[in-house]
This record gives sequence, C-alpha cells and structure tokens, in this order.
Amino acid sequence: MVVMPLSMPVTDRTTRARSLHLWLVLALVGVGVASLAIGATGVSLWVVLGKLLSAQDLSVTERAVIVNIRMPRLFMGCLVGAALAVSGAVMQGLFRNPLADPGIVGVSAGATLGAVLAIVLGGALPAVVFDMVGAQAVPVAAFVGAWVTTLLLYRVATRHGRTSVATMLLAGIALTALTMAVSGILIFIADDQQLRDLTFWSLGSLAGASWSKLAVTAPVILTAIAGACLLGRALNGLALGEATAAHIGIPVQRMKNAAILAVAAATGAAVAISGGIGFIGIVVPHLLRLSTGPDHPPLLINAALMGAILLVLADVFARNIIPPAELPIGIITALLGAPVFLWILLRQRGLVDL
Amino acid sequence: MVHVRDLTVSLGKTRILERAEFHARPGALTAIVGPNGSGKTTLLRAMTGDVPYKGRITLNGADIAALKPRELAGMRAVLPQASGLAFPFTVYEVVRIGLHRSNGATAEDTPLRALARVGLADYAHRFYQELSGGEQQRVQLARVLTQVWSPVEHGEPRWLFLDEPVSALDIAHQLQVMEIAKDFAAAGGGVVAVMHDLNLTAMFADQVTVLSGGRITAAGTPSDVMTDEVLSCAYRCDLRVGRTPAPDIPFILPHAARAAAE
Repeated sequence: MVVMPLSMPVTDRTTRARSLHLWLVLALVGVGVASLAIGATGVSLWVVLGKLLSAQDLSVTERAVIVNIRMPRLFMGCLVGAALAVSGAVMQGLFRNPLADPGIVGVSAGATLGAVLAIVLGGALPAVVFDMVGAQAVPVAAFVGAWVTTLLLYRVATRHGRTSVATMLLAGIALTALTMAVSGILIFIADDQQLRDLTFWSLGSLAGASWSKLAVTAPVILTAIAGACLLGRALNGLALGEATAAHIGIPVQRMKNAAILAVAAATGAAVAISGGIGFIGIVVPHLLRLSTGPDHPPLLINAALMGAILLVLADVFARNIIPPAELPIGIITALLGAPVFLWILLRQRGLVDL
Repeated sequence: MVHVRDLTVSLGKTRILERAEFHARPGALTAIVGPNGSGKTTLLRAMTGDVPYKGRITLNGADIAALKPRELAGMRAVLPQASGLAFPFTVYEVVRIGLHRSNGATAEDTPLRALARVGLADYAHRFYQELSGGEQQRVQLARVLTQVWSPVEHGEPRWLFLDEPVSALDIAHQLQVMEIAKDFAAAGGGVVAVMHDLNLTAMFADQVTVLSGGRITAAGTPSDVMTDEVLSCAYRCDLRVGRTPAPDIPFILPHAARAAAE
C-alpha cells in the first residue's frame, strides 16, 4: 500500500464557520445596543448609561422605556429570531431539502388556527375560563394549536415506529389546507375589529414583549435551541440518507423525534409570542450554507446568532420608520429578506446547486 | 464471523429470500453473485440491518438485532449502491462523516489517508456533487474506509459490506477498488461484496455464494462454484467457463454461448 504524502493544507470551511461565531456575537451586541438606544420616545441610551455610571437616579420615563419596554423587546427579538433560524436549519437537514421550513411540520398552520380561534371565539368563552387565560389567550391558543397539529402530523407519518419524512410533507400540505379552511370559516364570521387583530397577528410583531412573557417563553425556546444544536453531527450524517446515517451509528428514529420536538417547541413558542414572522427560517440557513458550507454543528450556532441579529435589526426598522406608529415586523423581514434572497440566487445561479 | 441462518425476507406479499443460509469469515473476501432480482442486495441489506427479516444474523457472535446503531457502526461499515447527498458538502467533508462513531478516537487525518487510498487526495476541496458518478463512488468508499480504518480492533475483525462496489467504475478503478477490499481482508478484516462482474469475482473473491430466485444455489471457492452448470442454471443462459493459464482462475466469456453454437 502506497502511503501518499499528506501535506495538503486542510483549510476547511468548518474553521471559517467557527471563527464566524465570534463576529456574529460582536454584531449581535452592536445591534442590541442600537435597539436599546433608538426609539420613538427619544430616551437616549447614552444619557441613561451616563446616569447609571455616575450613580444618578433614572427618571421614571427612562426606566420605563429602557428597562421595561426596550430590553424585554430586545431579548424577545433575539429568542424569536434564533428560534426561527435554528428551526429552519434543523427542518432543512431533516428533510434534506434547503426549502424545508418549520411550516412543514404543521407548526405555523396550527398556530394560526389557534390564534384565530382565540381572537374570534375568545369573547364567547365563559367568563371563568377567559379570566384564567385573559390577555394571554392568543399566544396560549397559538402554542397549543402548533403542538396539536404537529402531534397529529407525526402520528399520521409514523408507521411501526418509523417516521416517513415524505409522508409528513404530504400530510402537512393536507393538514395546512384543512386548518386554513377552518380559519377561513372563522374569519368569515369575524367582525371588523377581530379581522384587524387577526391581520396584525399574522404579520407578526414584537410589540407585546414583556418580562413576564419572557419568563415563560425563554426557558422553552432556549432549551429547544440548545437541544437542536446538539443534533449537528447527526444531521451531517442524515445528508447521506437515512440508511447511511444508521450505518455510521446514528439512532435515526430517536434523532428525528428529538428534531421534531425541538422545532415544535421553539417555533410554537416563537409564533405564539410574535405572530407570523416569515423568511428568517429559510434565508438565514441558506446564506450561511453559501458562505461557510453546510457542516451542521457550526451552522446551527451561526444560524441562532444570525437569526437573532436579523430580527432585532428588523424590529429597529419596524419601530422607527414611521414613529410613533409601528410597522408589523413580518413586513420588514419580507421586504428586506426577499430581494436580498433573490439577488443571491441570481448571483449564485449555475455555480452550486443549492 | 458473519452467520446468517434461516433467513426469510418478504416485501409486502412478495417473498424475496427463502430460508437462506450464508456465512463469511474474516480474512476473506466473500462475494454474492446472481442475476438481477435474485435477492443479492436484499441479503446484504438484511445483514446491514436495513430490511426487516425472519431468522437470525450474527456478527462476530452477537445478534445484530440486539446491537445498537453505535455498536454496529464500530464493527462494520456499509457502502451502498448509490448515495445521494443533500447540500453542497466538499469531498473532505463527506469523508469526514465517516468519523462519526469514533468521537475523536480515530486519528484526525484518517479521512485524508482514506482519500489518498482511493486515489482522490487532490479532490479533498472539490464539491462532491460536481464529481462524476465513479468518483463519487470512490469518495463513498473512502468514507466507509474511514469508519473502519483498522481492519482489526480490540482483537475483533471489522467488516466491510459492499453493494456492487465497482458498478460505476472504469476497469482500472475496478481493479483498484477490488485490491483495496482484498487488502482489508488480508489485514484480518472481513469483506462481503455483492458483485455483478463474474470475472472480477473469480479473480478476487475467496468465497462465492450464488443466489437465484431467492435461494442460495451454491457456495464455496470460485473454482468450486463457478462452473458451466452452476452459472448457466443461476443466470438462465448458456455460459462457458474457461481457465486462465497459471494462476489457474476461472473466466467467463459472455459471447461464448453463441460462439459455441455457430
């Protein structure tokens, strides 16, 4: 056996992907500071920081704006952006398709149905129940809706302990059509105010951010993201197909269960608190694969960071384009995301097939 | 050792394999031959845990049904007939996936050594999807070799299961791949390969198992098994088997039947 010289430099993309972690963390800090500093009320972060450093008391307005409005909103933006981007990357790895999206496992359709139910029929609930869930009726219903559809879809696609991703995709299309039809019926009977609420919910917003909401959702989303990031090596194996993944030692079914659980939890929570924010889950992983390759362990971490950056950035725009009014953030992510995505696709055409 | 006992495999209502017995020993290349649809690949896929079966299959004495994917991955590697790949991985990244089980226990440069072994050292940073079918097949072989780089581990032989490993290759690379398999066996590992090319089988295999219509019709050394009668019966056509001058190896000429008739 001839042993060839192994002098070839291994300047692999994984090294670049890892060094990207640091740059993205720095960018996130920068965007985070901007998000705290810029806003409709004209409360300046620098004045506040200066006061804190010189041990002066903050005014009530300053405290309210920075600590109780902008800070929870910043953290919520980070969590939702990271959840959507990581969920997208995991779904794409699981379905072995760069166009897959958390919507495929029924999360979005179920969440929408839940939200529509809460908005349209919430008023008809007995007062006791309504008092219990109160203002949180919409996010709670959205989360429950996301979970119920995901579990249903999972049951349909699982035979003899094996989940078929192809069946899941097909059943997802059918179930989405069904939930949309039911939502349609409810929209048909909704009054004008309810229609307005629905439209705004479906366009997405971080306006409802608060420390109390954060306390409930942060543990769910953070656990799900951490779990998803552990699946990186297994997702690499899955890129070679399920049979090969099993041959190299991956417990494929357990891994699929974990992936679907993580995505349903992260996306369900994100959609519940922020409504329908599109594009992050497809654009972010795709951009990262183009720049540093599809190696999943660094890709998932970079996706979390970049998703957080983009959503916080989009929220800064949403809040400050027409102050004091706010644009729904889903409009911003689509307005900025879609053209950039198309431009990248045009530039990349013919080089590498997705 | 690989022991397959009383193996029956059905797909839907079709019975693919019927009460098959199969054995392979370490240190040898065991070939499985037979016509299309005879159940060769199914036999291999039963041994690699990819199809449900009735019967008992043991690998180094352990029932494969009782082993976890991780434990199996340490004992054997599998080269599938065709490998799709999602996402634009480079050749090096694909081969590195073969390190999955070892968790750092295998040397980091094993993927590069494996690529050099299949003659693709210069391809490490090319995109896998841009290679030709034959080159992709050799990259997959490098990945498989990376998984079981040392043919013997902790005194136990490791195994290569190859499904038509040379089907997409030119003649030079057919020989190269068969020699890699042969070397793996010579170093104490075991190789089980589904083969289409009877001449390559005669040249490289230590043991041959012939399948026909879901049943094993012959098993033994190439010289014992590769006879006019056995092969003509299995493939349902008139084949003539000759012998090369020393070293005395059977060879099969595909047009011998017609030539003899004229």
